[in-house]
Amino acid sequence: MPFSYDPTFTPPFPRLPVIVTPIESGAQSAALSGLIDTGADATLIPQAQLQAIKAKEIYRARLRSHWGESRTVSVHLVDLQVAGHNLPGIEVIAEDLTEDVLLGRNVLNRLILLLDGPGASADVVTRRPGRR
Amino acid sequence: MLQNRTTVIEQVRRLAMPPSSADRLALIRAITSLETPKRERGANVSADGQTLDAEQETWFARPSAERKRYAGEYVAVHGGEVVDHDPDQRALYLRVLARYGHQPMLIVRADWNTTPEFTIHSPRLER
Repeated sequence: MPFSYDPTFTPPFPRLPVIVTPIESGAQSAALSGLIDTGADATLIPQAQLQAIKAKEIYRARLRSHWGESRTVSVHLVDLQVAGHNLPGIEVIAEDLTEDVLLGRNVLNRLILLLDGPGASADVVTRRPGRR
Repeated sequence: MLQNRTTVIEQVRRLAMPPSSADRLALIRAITSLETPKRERGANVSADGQTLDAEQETWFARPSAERKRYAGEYVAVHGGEVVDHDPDQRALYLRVLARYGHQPMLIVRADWNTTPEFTIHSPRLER
């Protein structure tokens, strides 16, 4: 099922619905809008969302921007559901400066994505287009 | 009256003049000193976060040969000791959670030599 790009960005941003679940319990986050960001090494979830579901921190890391500024962040292990696809045991970074959910390559590289720019829709497919 | 007019014109002329380099620099410094300091993590790190920081520092200070015994696996470190290890991070997480509850537990790849660094390569255009 295709999901429309987020039109509040210019140009519009491809996005997918994301649900975050702590490994050890069934508590779930609300459905979040995850921005598809192939430039991000890691996946970022707002800290408030992770605190709300009591996701446990497992280590600290440094998060660096394209131009080199970096800061210390906490990394949590959670189960993700992205566009209905279950991804167990995913490391996510708690983001305390913005409310954006960024789906980085640690998640995107597990999925086959179809980005239809002119149609402004994104989808996760189970088979590569053009292959049988 | 004429003197007043001359004074006003002189004041306007000074205001309309472009600022000197020294004035521009002083202005920039004054503006930047008004900016709110950036939020830095660390000041409000939780007790669990501080424990993890200490565990992590101790772990990476260990001799490389000692850490390499667990190459290809994740290690769970508690109180400075490796309490469990497994190539499956999620299975390890569940096992140590069952044994130690919600105590802070460091779970890292044994192959790392230092705190990992992730980069966000995607700058955004502000409009």
